[in-house]
Amino acid sequence: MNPDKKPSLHEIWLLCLLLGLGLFNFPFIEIFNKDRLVFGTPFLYLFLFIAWALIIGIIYAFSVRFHQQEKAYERTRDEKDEPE
Amino acid sequence: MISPEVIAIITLLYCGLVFWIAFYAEKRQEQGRSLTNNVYVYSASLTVYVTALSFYGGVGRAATSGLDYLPLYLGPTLMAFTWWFLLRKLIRVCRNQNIVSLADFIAGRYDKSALLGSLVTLFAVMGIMPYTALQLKAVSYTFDLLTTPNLTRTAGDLSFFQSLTSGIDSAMLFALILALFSILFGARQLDAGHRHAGLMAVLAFETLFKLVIFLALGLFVTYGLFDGFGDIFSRFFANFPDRHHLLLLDTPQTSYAKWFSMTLLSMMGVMFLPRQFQVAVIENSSESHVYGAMWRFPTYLFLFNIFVLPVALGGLLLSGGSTMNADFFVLTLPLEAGHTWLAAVVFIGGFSASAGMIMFSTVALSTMILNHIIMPVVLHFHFKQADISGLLINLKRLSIILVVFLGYWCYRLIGESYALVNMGLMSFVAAVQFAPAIIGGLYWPRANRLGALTGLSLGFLVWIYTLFIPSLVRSGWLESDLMETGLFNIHLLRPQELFGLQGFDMWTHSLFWSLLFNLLAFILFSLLTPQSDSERELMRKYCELEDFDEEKQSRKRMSRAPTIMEFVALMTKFIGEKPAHAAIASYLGDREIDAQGRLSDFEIPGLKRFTEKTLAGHVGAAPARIIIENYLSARGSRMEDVFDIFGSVSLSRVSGREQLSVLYEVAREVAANKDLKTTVESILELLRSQFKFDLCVLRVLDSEESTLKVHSQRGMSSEHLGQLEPIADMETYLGQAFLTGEVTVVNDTDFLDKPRSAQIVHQEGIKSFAHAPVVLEGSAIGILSAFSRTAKGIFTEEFIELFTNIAGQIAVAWRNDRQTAQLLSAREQEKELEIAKTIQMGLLPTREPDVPGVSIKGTYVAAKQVGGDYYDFIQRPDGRMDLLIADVSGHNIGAALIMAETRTFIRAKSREIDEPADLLHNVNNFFYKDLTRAELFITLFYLQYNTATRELAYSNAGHNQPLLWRNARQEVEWLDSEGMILGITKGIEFEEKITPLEAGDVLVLYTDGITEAENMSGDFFGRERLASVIREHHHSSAEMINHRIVQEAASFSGLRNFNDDVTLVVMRIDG
Repeated sequence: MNPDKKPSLHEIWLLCLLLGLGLFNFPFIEIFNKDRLVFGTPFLYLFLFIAWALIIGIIYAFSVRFHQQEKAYERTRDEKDEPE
Repeated sequence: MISPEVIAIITLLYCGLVFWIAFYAEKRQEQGRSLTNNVYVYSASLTVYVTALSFYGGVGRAATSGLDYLPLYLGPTLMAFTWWFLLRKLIRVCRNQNIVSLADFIAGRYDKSALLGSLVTLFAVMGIMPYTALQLKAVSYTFDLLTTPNLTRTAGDLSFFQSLTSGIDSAMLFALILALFSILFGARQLDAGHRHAGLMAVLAFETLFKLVIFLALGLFVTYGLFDGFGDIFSRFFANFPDRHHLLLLDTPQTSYAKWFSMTLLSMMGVMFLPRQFQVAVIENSSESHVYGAMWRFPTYLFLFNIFVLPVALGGLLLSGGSTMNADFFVLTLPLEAGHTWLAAVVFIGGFSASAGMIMFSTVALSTMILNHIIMPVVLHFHFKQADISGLLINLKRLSIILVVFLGYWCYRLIGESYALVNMGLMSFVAAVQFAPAIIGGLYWPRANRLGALTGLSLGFLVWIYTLFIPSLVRSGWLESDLMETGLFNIHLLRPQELFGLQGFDMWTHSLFWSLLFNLLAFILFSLLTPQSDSERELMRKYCELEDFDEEKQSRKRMSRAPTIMEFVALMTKFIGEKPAHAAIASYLGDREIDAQGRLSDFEIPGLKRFTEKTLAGHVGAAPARIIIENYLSARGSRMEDVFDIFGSVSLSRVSGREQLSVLYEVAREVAANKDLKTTVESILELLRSQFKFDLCVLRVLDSEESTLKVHSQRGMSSEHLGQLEPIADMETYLGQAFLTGEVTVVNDTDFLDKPRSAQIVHQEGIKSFAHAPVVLEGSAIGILSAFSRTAKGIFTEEFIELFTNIAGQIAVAWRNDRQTAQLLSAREQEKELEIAKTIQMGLLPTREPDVPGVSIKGTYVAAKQVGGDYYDFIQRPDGRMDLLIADVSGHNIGAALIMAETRTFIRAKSREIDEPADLLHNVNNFFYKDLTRAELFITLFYLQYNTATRELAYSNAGHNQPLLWRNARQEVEWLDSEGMILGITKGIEFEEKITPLEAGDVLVLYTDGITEAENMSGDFFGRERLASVIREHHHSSAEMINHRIVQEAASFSGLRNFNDDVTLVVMRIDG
């Protein structure tokens, strides 16, 4: 792997997956496991929904990028095929 | 409370609507204007995940044990992260392999194991029972809640239906309705690979329907009954200080372990619950839809869950903290608030959530049951009917009913003692057991059948022991102290504290042990036992998405192969006549079939694969394989490994090398350029010894008798075969190969359709043979044949290619031989021409005669070819001078000799004969015979000039008319007189003319080399151009005129050489 190169989409994706798995599990979740209301909402409940929304946002970004990448790949492949 | 009739009518109306949607979608699909092939419907269909378990159970769970309802939705969200590769790979494998269910997928990966398929089906059916039960429980319970006041569910309490007919409760009625619906839209066709457009459309509708209703209910509770989120939370905090654990983790109810295992359960469940697999993988119409679903599906779950906790807490607040009916807060809250219409709508929402789940579960499971449990039994009984597809589809319908009523039975067993979510979780744990075999099968090449078999079995046994049996015990159905004492009274084997593992909830406990056993066995057996060849091939298709079939299978051939019609009959039996015919038509569309409507030997294995794949689309991969294999073995057909003609392992790279070396040897023989017979015999010998043939023959067409005569042969001496010289017609294989110019192969002489060939072939004990035409310049000149007495089926496609190449090399040798002969004859011809040229040059006068008052210049320009031109001067003692120019047709030594003879004859006769006409007459008579025999003729112009009188006498034997320039009149005249070409007929009389010449007159005699000098555009130099040269240069000397004419003609033709010889004599009368 070339360390100078920008990390690939797949590398960032792996990082985000690990982040997601970590976000919803012990011990990270313990930080928010507090018996109190924040903005009138139970703290943990609020955290879980915000983190959830965040994860969905990240998935959305990836799905769009992956789809674009695939379409671009198919285009170049088609172009390559065409002259033959 | 609403009257049961009203609810029944609303339910029926809803069902009617859904039926209509399904019908409409199916119709659109048939018209090719699909409503369901898009990313929205695909994403929506995934929400079949959201069932009554979420609709009712989520709130119940939140009210009783708190936040642990959430992992069931967080897990799928995390799983969606991986869909772009995991789900897409699953989809691609299923599409490539024509896989129609979860069991099919697992069985297909592991050697198409029928046993594995049935096990997976059995486990799936068992595993899903509690899930179906919970749906039925939810629907019937809510129905009774709506219609029965103060529901307590005691034995004496008569619900509407119980009063209607004893023995039928609402759950059974709903079970019937749902089964009917599933049959109508899930089992219309046998082809399970066919996507269920109707059901998908219904799911899409229900997705929207249940979300809208649930959100409406949430809004009603949160903002109607309470004053928003904050109000609910603060009142909950104030009223239930002892219930704060509902909002926290790491509590006795919700440990981190439980949280984690629930997350894992839902991650796997969303992929491997049979109905999820069905919608996500089997019903997928385009891989690219996965990208859209990746975020749409989690977003849906997110929206669905926003109001779960508020409704749960609100329910607790309103019920004074009672959790008895927490599972049905969603219904009781509006009901108790007096909003019966909202309660009715909620009921329909819950019904729709259940219905979606049951429909797709039953479709998925009935396919599995039919393919993996019923089909093996059906096959065992060998039904004689031609078409049992009708029976099969009815069996599929029966299995739908079976699945629904197994759920109903399960509901009756444990429904009362378990909360909704807990029943659902049992199914989740069961579904997780499929994960190692599926994910391992996709990404771990070593995973094998035995590993999957033992892993799955152990996993399920542990599941049954630690979850299912305890549920039966707990519900009181199984009277046992098993829970306390353990199996065989072994304390360590207590179902929920297996091996002394304590301190975990039952889900975590069961998940841990079942997955541990499952994984360990799966990995251990996969590592310790080898994969079979066929398994490895399947592994490549799953893990590496390879399509390896073609190459591999082409090395096999089928003995006693069925015909196309037999394959069709086989398909008809299982899938019905129309689909079978449609399938075969599409298959044969682009294939070559011979005159008898048969496929070639190499196409038969392809057709077998196609039949298997088509059957797999209807009955699953493993049964399809069993069907095909049973069928073939029953009729004695066998896939045989091809007798390895290249004497090498079955790797085409290696055989390619062998092939090359043989070809190289052959090419070397050909290049050595020995005589043809030797070359051909060496090639035949090479072929025979390399491939152990018994006889190799080259036959060549004898064009007079139109038979194929043996040219050379090597191998067994055979009176019949070797000497057989059949006529080149279609009655024999030899003739057929010759006439069609195509290789003819018979890999098994038990099946011959040309009686004349068959007789001889059988006499000789030939097992297989091949004929390849030897084609030279587009037409066959002979046939190369190879015969084997020992082995059938030795002519593989690869060998045929080589064989054809060798035939081509023989053609090259043949051509070389022919060219050599031509070269030799050309060389001889050249020598002959050389002689002719020498003779001719010797005949031409070496110098011009010295005649007073006349200057003469004669020229001869040789062309590439030697010509028959000739001119001569004869000076007579009386001062007269004879001049003649002649052209003998033909360019060979014969022509040259005739010319020499003519010259001698004329020279001799000129002494006796004075007159040109007389002389020509004599020449003609003398040479007539010789010329006719030699097929030659001569044109000749003869003139006699009298220097004293300046008179010119002349006669013409068909020669070009000479040009005469009359200086006095300044015009051109063409000298002509009557006379025929010499050598045509005997006794011709020639006319003689006399004309006076004057000073300055110029006479030009020429051969057609001048006038027929041709330019690039095909025009001749012609007499006109000749005349104009004279007009311009008549005052020059004879030599100069001569030179000009040759120059002009040469520059006209634009060539360095004339095409024909040029002979030109110019005579000028000087002053």
